[in-house]
Amino acid sequence: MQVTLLRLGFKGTAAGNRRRFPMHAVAALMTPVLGALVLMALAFVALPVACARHQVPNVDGARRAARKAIQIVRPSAPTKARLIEQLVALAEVATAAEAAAPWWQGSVGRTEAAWLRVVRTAHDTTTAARAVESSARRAYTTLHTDVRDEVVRAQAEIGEAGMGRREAAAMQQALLSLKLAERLAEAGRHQPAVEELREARQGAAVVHHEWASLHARFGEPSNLRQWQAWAEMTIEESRRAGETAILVDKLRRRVTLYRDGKAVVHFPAELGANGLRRKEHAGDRATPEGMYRVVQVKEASKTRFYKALLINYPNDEDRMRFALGQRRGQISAAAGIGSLIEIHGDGGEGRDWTNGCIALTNEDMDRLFAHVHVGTPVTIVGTYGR
Amino acid sequence: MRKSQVFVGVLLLVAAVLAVGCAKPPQQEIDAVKAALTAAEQAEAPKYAAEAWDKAQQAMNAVNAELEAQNAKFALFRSYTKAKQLIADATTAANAAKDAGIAGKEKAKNDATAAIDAAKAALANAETLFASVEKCPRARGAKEVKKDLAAVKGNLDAMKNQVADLDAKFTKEDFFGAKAAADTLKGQVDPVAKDLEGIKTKFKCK
Repeated sequence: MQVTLLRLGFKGTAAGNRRRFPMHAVAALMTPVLGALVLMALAFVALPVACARHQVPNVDGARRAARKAIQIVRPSAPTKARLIEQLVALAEVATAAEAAAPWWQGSVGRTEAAWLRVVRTAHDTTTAARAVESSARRAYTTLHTDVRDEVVRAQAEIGEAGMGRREAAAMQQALLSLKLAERLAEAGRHQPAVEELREARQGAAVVHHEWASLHARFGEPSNLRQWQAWAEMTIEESRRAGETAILVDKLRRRVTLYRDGKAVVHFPAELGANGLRRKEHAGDRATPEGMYRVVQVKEASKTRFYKALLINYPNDEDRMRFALGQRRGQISAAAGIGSLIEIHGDGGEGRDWTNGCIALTNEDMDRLFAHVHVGTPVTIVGTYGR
Repeated sequence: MRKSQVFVGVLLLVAAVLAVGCAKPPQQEIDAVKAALTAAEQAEAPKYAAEAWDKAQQAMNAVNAELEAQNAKFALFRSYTKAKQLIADATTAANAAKDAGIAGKEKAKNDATAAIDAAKAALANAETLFASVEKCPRARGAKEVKKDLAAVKGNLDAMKNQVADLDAKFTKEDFFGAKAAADTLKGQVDPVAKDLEGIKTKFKCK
């Protein structure tokens, strides 16, 4: 016992100590016990705190938003979608790390920051993708109406005499591109649809341009003056001789019969496949312009186009122009000037289809035939005011 | 002598505990799943098998989260058993995404090829019909055909140019675009071929 007490720091004999023992011993024993109790109490308080984990925020909303953003962005901007995927992966790691880390190791707001970055990127990329798509949709809607109208107009123009293979190809390209654009737009791919519409517009523009250039000569004052002069001379001749004369207006597709200088009757006409052009050489399928005369009246047995009035193309002026064209290299040296230009029947197709002749319906041909003989003037002009 | 034996024994025990207790991440499996995911991406799974790719991504995210959770623990308490299972799942998902990507791309390619072939065949047929009509004097001389032949020739020229565009799209691996364009082209060629067939029959061309 003494040994124990001595170890505890008490001194004195056993007899002396026996009197004071209870108080001192209790006090001496209480000190370490109290200390231990205090420590235990502290441990009880500290352990839950020490072992506490961070409250991980609920990030399901952010996850869903990111997934949706990826779906929206991927078709138009796959690299942006991949970026969001990578940010989500990093955010998931951060979330897991924060959830597992004890409080002294965790970083306040790390999870939130990671997901905030995901959500912001998702929002920005989605907004950008939607803006691009929306802009493309608007552009498509605006452009589609215009381009469709242009293509429809080009379709009407392509039937014009003088439109060639190049224009037909451009027209076909325009139609193809328009169809493809509509198909792409139906699939929600407005950006490539807009590009296809632009292609379609280019094709239609080729047709418009050719149509405009074909028609340009019909507005030129020098041509108009020339045609006016020819027409007036023909009408004057009819009036003076008291005879019939034929005036052909190419632009209006109209044959007019004059008697005594007065228009008696108009017939709708069809021209050569390149009829609006001025004939330059054989095989160009253009309808000539000039002052001619009927040189042969062909009954049904003499022509395969019901009935026909052969005119004296080429006349002297045509020959001069042809020779000049060859000298200048505008017409091939091997080309011929052409011949056999007639006003004939079998028309009524509603389009220009001949090799350069003027076609009327058989009924109109019968009516015209009754008033025409060899020598009747036939003047063909681009257009004529009356 | 006896003390040192005890000391060595304790050391060995500690070493054994540490060796067993400090579990290491399954690096080989992690590398494998990463490689599988890269392979899926290279197989264009995001483009041709988006759903399978998303699943693989989510599985990989779960793996990363589990690895991170284990890394955050005290070394002696780490366990990668669940992580290994998740890695196995992610590897399966990544391989599935890769296969689906390859299959999806192959399907898109085959669809585009079939559509392009169909358009080319339709065009070749139309050209054969055109040549037949063009050589046919009865048809060529007919007034309703004359103007049309030049227009049809122009149309066929444009369609041939379009075929070149289709091939360009296909070469650029724009299979969806190539298919849409090929279907549209065929839709344009067929009526032309039908018209030519009608002319051929009408004028009894060879």
